[in-house]
Amino acid sequence: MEQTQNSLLQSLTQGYLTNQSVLDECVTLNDGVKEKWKRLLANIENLGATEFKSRHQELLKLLKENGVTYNVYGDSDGLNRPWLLDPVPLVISASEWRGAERGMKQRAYVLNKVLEDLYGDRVLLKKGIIPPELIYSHQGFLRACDKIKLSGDYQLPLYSADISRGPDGKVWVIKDRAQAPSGMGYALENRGALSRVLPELFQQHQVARLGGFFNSLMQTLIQLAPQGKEHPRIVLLTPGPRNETYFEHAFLASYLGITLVQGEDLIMRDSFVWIKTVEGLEKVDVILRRVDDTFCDPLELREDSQLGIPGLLQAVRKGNVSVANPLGSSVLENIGLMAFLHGAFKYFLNEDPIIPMIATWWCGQKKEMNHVIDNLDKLVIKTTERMSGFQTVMGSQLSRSEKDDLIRKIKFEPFRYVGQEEVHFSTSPVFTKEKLEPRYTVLRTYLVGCKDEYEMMRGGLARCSPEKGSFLVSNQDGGISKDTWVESTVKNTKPSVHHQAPDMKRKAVLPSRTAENLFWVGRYTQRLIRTSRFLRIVLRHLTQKGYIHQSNDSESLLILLQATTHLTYSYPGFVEEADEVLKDPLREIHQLICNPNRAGSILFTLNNLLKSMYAARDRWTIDSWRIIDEIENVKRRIAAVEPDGIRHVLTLLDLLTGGLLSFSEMTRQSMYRSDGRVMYRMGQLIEEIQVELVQYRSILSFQYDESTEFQLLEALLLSNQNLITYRSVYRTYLSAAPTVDLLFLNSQNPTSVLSQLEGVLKYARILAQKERGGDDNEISRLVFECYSSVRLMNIDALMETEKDSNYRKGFDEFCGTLQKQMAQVYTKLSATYFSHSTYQQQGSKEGFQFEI
Amino acid sequence: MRYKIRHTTEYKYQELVTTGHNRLCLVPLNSDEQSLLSSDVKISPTPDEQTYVTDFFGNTLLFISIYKEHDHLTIQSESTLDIQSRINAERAYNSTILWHDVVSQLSANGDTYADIIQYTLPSLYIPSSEEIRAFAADCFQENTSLWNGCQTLMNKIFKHVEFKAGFTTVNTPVESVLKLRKGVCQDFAHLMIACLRNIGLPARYVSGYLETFPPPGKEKLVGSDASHAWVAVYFPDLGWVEFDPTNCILASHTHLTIAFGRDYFDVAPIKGIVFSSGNQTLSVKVDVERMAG
Repeated sequence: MEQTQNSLLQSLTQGYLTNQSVLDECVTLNDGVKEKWKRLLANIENLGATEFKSRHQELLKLLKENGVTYNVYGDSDGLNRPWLLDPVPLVISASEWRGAERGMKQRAYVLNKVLEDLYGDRVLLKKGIIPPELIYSHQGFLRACDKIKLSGDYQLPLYSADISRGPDGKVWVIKDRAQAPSGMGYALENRGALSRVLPELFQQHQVARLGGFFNSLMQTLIQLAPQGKEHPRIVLLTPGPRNETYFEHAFLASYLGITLVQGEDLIMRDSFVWIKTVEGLEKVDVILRRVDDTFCDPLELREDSQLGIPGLLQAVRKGNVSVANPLGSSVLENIGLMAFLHGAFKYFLNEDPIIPMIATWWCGQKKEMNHVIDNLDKLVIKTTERMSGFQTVMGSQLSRSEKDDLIRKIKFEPFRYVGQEEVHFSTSPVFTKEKLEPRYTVLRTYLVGCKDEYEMMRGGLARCSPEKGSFLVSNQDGGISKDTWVESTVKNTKPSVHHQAPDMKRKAVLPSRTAENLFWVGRYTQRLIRTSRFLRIVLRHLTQKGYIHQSNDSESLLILLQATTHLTYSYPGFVEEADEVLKDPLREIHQLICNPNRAGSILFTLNNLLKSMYAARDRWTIDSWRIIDEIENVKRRIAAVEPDGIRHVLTLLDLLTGGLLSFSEMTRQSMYRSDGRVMYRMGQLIEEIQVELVQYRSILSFQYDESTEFQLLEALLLSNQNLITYRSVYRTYLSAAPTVDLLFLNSQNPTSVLSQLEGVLKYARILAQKERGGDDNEISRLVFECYSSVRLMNIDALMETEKDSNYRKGFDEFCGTLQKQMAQVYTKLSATYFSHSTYQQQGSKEGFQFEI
Repeated sequence: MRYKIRHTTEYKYQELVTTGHNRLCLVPLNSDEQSLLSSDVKISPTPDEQTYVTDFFGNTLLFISIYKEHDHLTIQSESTLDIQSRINAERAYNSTILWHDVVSQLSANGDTYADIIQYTLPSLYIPSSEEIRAFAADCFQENTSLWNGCQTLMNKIFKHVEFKAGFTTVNTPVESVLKLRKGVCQDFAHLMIACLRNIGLPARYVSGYLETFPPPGKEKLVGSDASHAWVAVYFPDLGWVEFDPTNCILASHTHLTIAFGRDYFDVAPIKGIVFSSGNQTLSVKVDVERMAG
């Protein structure tokens, strides 16, 4: 123990700072560990290196289980990359923080004024404080938003900036984030995870809490409501599950108690914005947006956007809905502004910026451009806005020809480029490979405009470079995050959870899109459970009996295989001209389970299920996420099964069904009586009925010899888990008529078609009631028709075969009709409750021609 | 000169549209050189919402929304205008200012010309381009006056590009027009603007109508006129001077202005979003009628 402690300490103090010319947050070359870090390091030492390492693993596991992810663009491996959190927090002393806080508040104040001016009188341009070219050439300046004012004192209700410490020990501003700052949700999640897994680190620390900031954020959002509405409906607008920070959108929406929506959930009508819900339209007052401003309204901004709300700007202009941050605020993210903000500080406050900015030269001015070109070796070259084909470069790392190329580009469109001084920011210790390493660290800070002034989150999202010596600090490149501890001098008095979620006082709403996703989660879950069970039975038959083409069992086996094709809708499969396939049926079964690209396969359906789950992720509890994470693991294992090892898939299918069943159970418990539950259950029941009808139809539509029929009925009842019930109820040898009675009509059997239809009917009536009070609508009537036809079915008559054949025509047609009717129920349900509003641009562009 | 304009646009939708939002830029500009006597926009089906908005550039926009199912949309804009002749064109004729003096004057006095400077910059349909810059270069020599440069450029474009409908669409890049050597008024205008901006001169896009005349001895056909587009160039101390590169003339009292902007995107006559997945057809008729008095 003694030794591991020493080695941990040694790794910190020895070799930690060799070859390092920049400041470190924790250690100085001369004096060793800084005072404010000593307690934390002592706490780590007390834990011991081995324990600390295992806690680190636990920490990452917890975050993964909680579903904390960061989506990486262009990552073929799927939607989510686990979030990396370093177990060592970034420690900031109370006095250091006070300085930063004062500076950031001042900066927020000035940027708010700048934004107001740019969309107002533009005095800054007229007085030459900011060159007009810089603003007018930036795509973030949205002319359509000119003169629009957000009600209240702030045009910039939310503000965020990346800060770091330069070699002189001072804090610098690196980047402003003004339109839809991301990361505050991750900061909260980091704190939660760290305090849960490593509570020992917090000993003898007075760490400022983060909850108060979110309280203030909520208050600010409420204040933004048009006409000072008391209980406004607030929504968080996300671009959707493919967005890199989608996790955070869902997390924040749940945490703040507001509704998570996508553009297609909202419509503009009568100059108001409405959310489409299962119960109709509900007015929206405030939109907290995470969609880039140009994508928010295809009518007036980017015409090709599918993420926005056509006509949104009209509602905003009339003051009927507030958007935070307002559309057009990305103009502040123009890096060229850094060169001129000093003047704005003087103009609005007659003060110098408390926190300095990196020295910046905007090439739109001749002298400055020449300076940049002459000093390329010392500068970092950036563009004023994201440009395809250009990445921030350090001049010193370019070859001669690359430099010439860059100079040519700058001279061609000078106003797009800036040169910035290359500043070496400070490092902080990151725990990696059992020791600590100094990594470049940047802190993202958050401010929100409150009653009297901006309030700053006492903490933030610290991010470190993924590799030693690298300056890249971006999540897209795999950065590591840190919890940020601001030492608190006063006892924490603010409660960490906000008390007033506005939606709590309002009826919770279920957006139509969410309804649809929940419905499909229900359907896919049941499809997977039932198909897995059936495949399991088929696999057992195939492997246990040692399949031989001419054996006595081959007829029943063939019918089961054909049922598999019907069930997975994977024609031709075993159904038509199947001789080739039948030579090696295991190969086809392997495909139907393990090939994610084969439509209808287990993995294919599973991927669809996971997609629907992500799309409705704000609806699942942490516990449900843990199960989803487990299901993902099983998925990876199934994908790895080779055709030769198909036998191993049995265990995996059991694991999968187990996981899905616990997910179902968890969902049943956590989704109390809500519209969401209704949709989810409807999906489950409708899918069950459809799966059953396919099974029964393909197995029972023909009469076979006794032994084949016995094997088929046994397999069927086994896969539907009804064999024991059958034996206890009918006490007869297995035969078709009682089986049909049990599977269709027996109301004691919860999976009989009748019982399931009863369930569908119940939910259809609940929905009808919400819609207009009565419990009758087209859907419930349709379901009732199905219900009565099953109730009145004459089994003996249906089971009779056609003359001179073994075909049970009556039964086959009965099932066929029922299948069609159920499909119709789905179509109606979808048309009534799931909105499918696709829109397009007016006028085919090719059609509009000028003729003079 | 007094004109009456009738501009009818009709969309027919293959499938019912449940909701439609449109932004119309059809109400002519009221300015020193042109007074708007009346404007009336008739729409069928009757919109559920109509809002007039003055945009960033000072143009009048009309936003309309229809919330009932419809299978067509007819927009008929009728206006009467009094046009004075363009005074600036005559003044510009005598202007001797050198083109590169304009460029340096603007960049040295950004604050004075804060508004004008945006028309020297790229915009959606006007890219920065080496080819365009090369095309314009010989029109603007060291000692060329702005006036002569613009005239030469307009001539060059008129000779280089053949007026021919059907080869380009609204989305054809201006560089392609240079290669295709065919286009319509919008392409002529975009090309001339691109040339001017690429050498640092302020130029803007004007959307409007042109009075046309039937061949001698023939009656003028109803609906035979069309939307038109041309170019305005900023002359310091004078203001905007309008060139029509499609016809290689200066804009006169036959040019009726609806709106101006950086390029077509800012002033498209009708822009909209319809909730529907089907196809649509479009027909446009324009009549520009000279009135007595």
